[in-house]
Amino acid sequence: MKKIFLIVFTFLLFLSNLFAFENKFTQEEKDYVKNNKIKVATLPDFPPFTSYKNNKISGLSHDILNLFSKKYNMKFEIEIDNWSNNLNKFKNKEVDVIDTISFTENRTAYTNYTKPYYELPFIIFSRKDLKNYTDISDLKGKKLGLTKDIFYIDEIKKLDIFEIVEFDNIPDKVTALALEKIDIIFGHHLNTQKTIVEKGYTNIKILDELKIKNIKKNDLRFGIAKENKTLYSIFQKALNNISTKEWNDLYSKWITNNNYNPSNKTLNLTKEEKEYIKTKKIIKVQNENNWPPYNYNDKGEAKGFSIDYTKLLASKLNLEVNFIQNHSWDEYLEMLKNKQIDVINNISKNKQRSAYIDFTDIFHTAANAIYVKKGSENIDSLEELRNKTIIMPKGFFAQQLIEKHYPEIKQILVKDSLEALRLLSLGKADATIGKKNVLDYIISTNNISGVVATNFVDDNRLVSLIRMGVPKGEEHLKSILQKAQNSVSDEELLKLKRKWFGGQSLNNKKNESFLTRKEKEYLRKKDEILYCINKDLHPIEFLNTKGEYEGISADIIETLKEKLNVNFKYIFTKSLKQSIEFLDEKRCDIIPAVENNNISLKNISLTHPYLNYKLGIITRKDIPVVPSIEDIIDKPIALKYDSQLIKEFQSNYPDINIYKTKNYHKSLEAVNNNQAYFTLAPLPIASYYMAEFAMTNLYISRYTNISYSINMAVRNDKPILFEILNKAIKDLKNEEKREIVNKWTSFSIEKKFDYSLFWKIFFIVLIIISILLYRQIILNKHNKELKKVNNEIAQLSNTLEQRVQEEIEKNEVKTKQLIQQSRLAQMGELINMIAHQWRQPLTAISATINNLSLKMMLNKDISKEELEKELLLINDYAQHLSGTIDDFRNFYKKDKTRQLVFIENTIEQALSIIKASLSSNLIKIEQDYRCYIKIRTYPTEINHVILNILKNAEDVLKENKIKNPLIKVSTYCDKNNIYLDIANNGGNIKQKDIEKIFEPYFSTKLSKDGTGLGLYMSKVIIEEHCSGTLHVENKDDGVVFKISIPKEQNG
Amino acid sequence: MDNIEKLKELLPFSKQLNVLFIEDNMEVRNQIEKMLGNFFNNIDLAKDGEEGMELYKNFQKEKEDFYDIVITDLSMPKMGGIDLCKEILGINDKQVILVISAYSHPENLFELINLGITKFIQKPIEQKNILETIIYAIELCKNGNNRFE
Repeated sequence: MKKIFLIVFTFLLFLSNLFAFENKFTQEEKDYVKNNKIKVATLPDFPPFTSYKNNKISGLSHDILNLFSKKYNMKFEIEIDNWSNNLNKFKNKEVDVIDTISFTENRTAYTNYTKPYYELPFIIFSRKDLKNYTDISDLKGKKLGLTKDIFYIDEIKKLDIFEIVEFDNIPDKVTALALEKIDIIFGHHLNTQKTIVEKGYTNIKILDELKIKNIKKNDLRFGIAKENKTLYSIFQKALNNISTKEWNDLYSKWITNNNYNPSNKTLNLTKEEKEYIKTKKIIKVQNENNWPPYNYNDKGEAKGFSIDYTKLLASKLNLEVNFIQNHSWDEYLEMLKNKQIDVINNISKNKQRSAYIDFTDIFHTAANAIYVKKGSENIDSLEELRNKTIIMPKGFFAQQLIEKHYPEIKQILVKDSLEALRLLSLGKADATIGKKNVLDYIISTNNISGVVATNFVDDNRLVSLIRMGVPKGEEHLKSILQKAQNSVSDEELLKLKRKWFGGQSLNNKKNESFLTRKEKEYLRKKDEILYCINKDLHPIEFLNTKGEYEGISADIIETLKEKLNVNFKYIFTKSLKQSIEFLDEKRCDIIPAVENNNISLKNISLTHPYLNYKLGIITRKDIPVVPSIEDIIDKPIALKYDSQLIKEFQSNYPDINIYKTKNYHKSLEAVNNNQAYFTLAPLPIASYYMAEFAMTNLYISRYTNISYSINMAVRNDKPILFEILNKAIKDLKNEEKREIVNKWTSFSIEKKFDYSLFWKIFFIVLIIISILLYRQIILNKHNKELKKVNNEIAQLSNTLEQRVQEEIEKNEVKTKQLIQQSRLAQMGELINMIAHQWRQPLTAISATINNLSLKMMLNKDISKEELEKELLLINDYAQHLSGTIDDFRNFYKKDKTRQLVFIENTIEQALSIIKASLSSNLIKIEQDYRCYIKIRTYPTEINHVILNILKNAEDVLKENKIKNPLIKVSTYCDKNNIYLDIANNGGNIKQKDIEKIFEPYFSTKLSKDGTGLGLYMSKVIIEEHCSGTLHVENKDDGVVFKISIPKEQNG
Repeated sequence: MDNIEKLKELLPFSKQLNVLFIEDNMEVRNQIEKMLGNFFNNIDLAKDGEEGMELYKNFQKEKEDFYDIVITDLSMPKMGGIDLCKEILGINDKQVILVISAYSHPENLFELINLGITKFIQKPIEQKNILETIIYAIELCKNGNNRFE
């Protein structure tokens, strides 16, 4: 696609060059633009040229129109429709312009074509299963899908080789192909491709570019109505005036970003080439034993970058690959010469090889690197290899080149790179040279140890330029490979490179550019720089548990080593003092870590500092923030015995109390143990020890103005080395230093020299900590209180529980008592009722007896009949009394089971008990029974309730001295319930009382008879035991108690 | 002298007395009437206070005289015994009235005494009590407690 773009682009460049001058509009044209809205018919589905989605038109041609609007104030009215309709509208002059039109003879009658704004090839698409295609004649009789009314349709029909199926739009056409309803489709490259991608079809491929006479590349233009010459001229001029940059922007926006699958670019194979492929079918390609990651044999399977690249080319060419295995490089070259194989897929070109091999263009470059045994890292150039021995795979390009150009380097020849590396690791040679990718791969996969790459080979001839090689004279093979190679996109290549070389980048470029030649020369000659180190300056420099030199300085040296490509060697000393002695005695060249405040030495030069801090005042946390060092200078200070500060302080403050320690660790410990009030230390050191030894009691109270830096000390007699190190240290990037320091300190330093930021952060943290502390204190206080209160509450709730329990118990007792009381009261009432009941019969009996007795006393004759009659009467009265007793006994008898009863009978029973009492109080009873249905219930309990209500009525009637007191008892029923109303005319109940009337212990009775339990218990009986309801309402001059009991009771 | 001998002596007198007996309970009324028949021959019966009052007034109208003895219950429909007594005593303050009742509330008794009720007979009837009371009432009538005397 890129190529097509380039062609078009060049074409347009040519156009724009041709019309380099600005085409000015005539007055007539200006007027036209001013006065007319230009109607343009465009397509909704022709990306990337026009596309209509979400009510928005976009695309290349739309942007061209936008550009016109912007530049010339042209006004457009866009009409979106399918191609046929657009063309009809255009023909019928309904629109002025038709977009995305291609030139055809037959349309010239009504169309003026602008210059094309884009040209793209027509492509033949087929499914992937279509094989053996060389040219269009192979497609004879195939079902061809075409878009309706497409301009070339007549041309195709004229060919008469396809069975043509027409489709309304591109997606239908593509779908038909994917679903095997048709065999091939013709289509514009870009938009067909886009449709395929959008639909997600994977079984479609680009077969070829469509090359039929009269059908050229699809030229996209604007078509202008024939007679509208002014508009035509406007369009032409406007198009011509689009600058190169504007075209560039348009294309990069719409075309290059729409490069869906560039691999399917057409190869533009010639007929002969196609013929060649058709007969060749399979190519034989070498598969080397051990040249990973380019070309190697993994348990019989060909693998590697070159292998994949070969496969990629073959797939583009519709060729199959047969990889030939188990031969050496020399043998493969011989086989190619003899045409036993067709292709060598990774080979550099040289004169010797050119005699019998034709090469394609370079598809990959690979640099050769020098590999040495560890410890010989100084061998990093061909120069250094002079008079040394290298071990090389025989026949490799590098081997031959070195042999030829560097005869003074001795060579041991082996079979392949693996063998070379193995022998190198065993010390059989000084070095080997090979492709970085290859050797790194072999080293990592074969566990070869002790071999490292030092540098890329400093001879450009040794950069391998890798190509494909074919036997001399195989022109078709070479050309098709070349064409296939050309069609490989950057993306495809990148994908392969990532697969095989990913993460192996050794771009270990040395950067000695800051050094002079003299200095470089010095380094070249210098075997190693000796440095004296002190093992007890965490985290600057120290020995780790394995006895290795570590720390910030160690990492700095490591960085310098890479930068300067020089070896450093360390010598341990007991102390800084000894290091200085060693330096004096020339036993070492430098001291890598010297604290600036420790140095007062002749014969030594200090480099630029590579670490720079202010000393911090470190105190215990329980000590308030120190305002300045002067404020605490009278307090004991712990300092390292060799600190330069000791002298300084002693001279300034003669009375100073200095606690001398062995090192920073001991100083910090002294403060931690209260042996000293404070100490001074730079951030990295302080934070290291504080974290490492968990001295959580310490904190950096304040920073002093005393600076602390770490420099390198260099002997004065080594001025060049001093310059080199100084330059190298200056050259260290801040991020490099930061990374190293961060590695060794728990504090992260944002900017090494930016103390303001540190201070800001420090104070913010301090403030936050203070706030948190304050909050914590308050919280603690609150928590304590809360805890106390909680305890109290807990206690209280315990007591409360106890109390409640007690109260409940008390209440239970009281309730029991009250119930008992209520029972007694009820019994009293009953007895009263019994008294009323019995008094009359007893009076009658007594009267009868007295009558007879008086007769006897007065000696009157009592006839037998009279006596019998009177005795019978007495018996009747006695029976009545007995019956009354039964009534009362029943009243106290508990119903164990439900009984089938008439509720009216129950009422009568209750009435019979109280009747005497009621009548003695002259209370009239009215009965109105309308139900008479037997229900299954507990009659005695209901009896109690009725009696209770009647008794209450009696009481109220008596109490209120009602004239004509009346109790009316009525029953009625509906479908589900029986209702029993007991009304009296004893006056209304006060509203405030009516709500409480069923509450226990509520009584309105004046006398002490009232327990307040009667109605409460009645309600309990009716509602809980009999599943009914009991409520009361005021009615007329009295109240009505209403009982309802369900006819059918469950349970 | 015991009460029976006294009664025997008084019977010729008592048999001529006119008595009004008011009792709502039929059984009690019938049985007490039978018992009173041993003392009196002329007993008029009423079943409530109203009826009793009506008889009392009618008797006064017809005979231009009063019943010699009124015996009444207290708790009766329409007109209670107390109201009845008040009215009768309002007409004839020397009327001999015997109250025969189960009423035992002291406040009622006080009221009755204050009204000037002659005697109180407790239900159920005790022989000694009824004899004494009746004899007392007959003697009252005989000994000129009657206003005609």
